[in-house]
Amino acid sequence: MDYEQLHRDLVRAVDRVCPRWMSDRADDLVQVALMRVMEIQRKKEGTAEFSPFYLKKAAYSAMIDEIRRLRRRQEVSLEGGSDDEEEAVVYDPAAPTPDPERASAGRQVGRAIRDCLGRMVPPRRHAVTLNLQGHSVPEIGRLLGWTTKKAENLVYRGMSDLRGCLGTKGIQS
Amino acid sequence: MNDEAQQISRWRAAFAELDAAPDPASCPSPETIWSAVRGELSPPQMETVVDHVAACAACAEDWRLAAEIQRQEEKAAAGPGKVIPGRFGQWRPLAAAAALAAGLLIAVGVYRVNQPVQEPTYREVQHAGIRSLLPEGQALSRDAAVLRWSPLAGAVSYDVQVSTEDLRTVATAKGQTATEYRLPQSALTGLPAGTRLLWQVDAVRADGTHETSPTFVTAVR
Ligand SMILES: [Zn+2]
Repeated sequence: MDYEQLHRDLVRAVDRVCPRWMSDRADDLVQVALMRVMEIQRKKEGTAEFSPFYLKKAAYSAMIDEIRRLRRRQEVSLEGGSDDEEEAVVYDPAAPTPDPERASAGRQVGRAIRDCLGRMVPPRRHAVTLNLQGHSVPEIGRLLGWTTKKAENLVYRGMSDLRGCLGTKGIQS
Repeated sequence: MNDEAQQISRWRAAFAELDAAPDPASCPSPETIWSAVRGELSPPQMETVVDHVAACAACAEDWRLAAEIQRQEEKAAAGPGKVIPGRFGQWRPLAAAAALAAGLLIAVGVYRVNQPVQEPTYREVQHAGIRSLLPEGQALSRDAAVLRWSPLAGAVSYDVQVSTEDLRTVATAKGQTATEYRLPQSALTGLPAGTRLLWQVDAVRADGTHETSPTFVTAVR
């Protein structure tokens, strides 16, 4: 397994997907995750053969554990103000984004979307959720075991439900 | 970008805005999210994970990370310069099949046994279209390694991608008009006898839409 390549791939993914405050720490995050995976591999050496697929999944999993830890700290520092000096410095609440007000408005819309999703019938909810996650219609079909036509139909109806629901919450676009 | 596309991209951005997990104890494990993104879960498990992602911004982010890693894999498998923008994800089943080949077949097998008869597994319903026309269980000869598939109605050309089980690209061909593809002998040099090749066909229609075949597995002699 090429750990350097894996390191690069994981850092790039964090960089593309995660908010700034987290992607700035992508390098450390991935380093910790990969060290954990190498440790597991070392301990089990000789008793098991690890495929690259297994190691990649293990690395992703260790990375998500780190990310979840980091998110919890971020939540604490956002809620708790500066009673924990060190946290407040390392995870500066002003740093998450260059425009906190806009982010907070986005978060409100995000909450409204999740609330609307919760009110939809399940197949439409699944279709719209995957669409909002950036998946194409054929991908949605493949993931949910639907034909592309069925996926297209459910995305279309679901998005129209979402539009209506957000409208009742005063969110027009 | 039209209004609707703009609206969707705004909603996607808002949906991606990180928020606290409503109930961290109920978050699926990273391994479960990884398997879901690769289409390796049974439909009921899949629905449970997607329902959670619909309600939990944190897990939605975990999902997008797994999806991004998979996209990178697909790009790497397609080789430099071979990826057509806006089409990533097309070869997704190839990665899923490789993961299956790496040891997950048993899990799927068990799942199939437990599944009620009236509900076919989603892997089978995914691609009613293109089928492999190679005799089952027969290995390809090196000097006449020809992949064959059933034509798809309305298709004007076919793209073919062939890789090893660890997703190294063996050969790719674009714009094939025949429903067969002869692997260049040079592509097979260095592959030990018995190597299992994963191959997939993407049928392109006149209007630019496509349909991707399931991933077929064929060994070389
Ligand atoms: Zn969650």
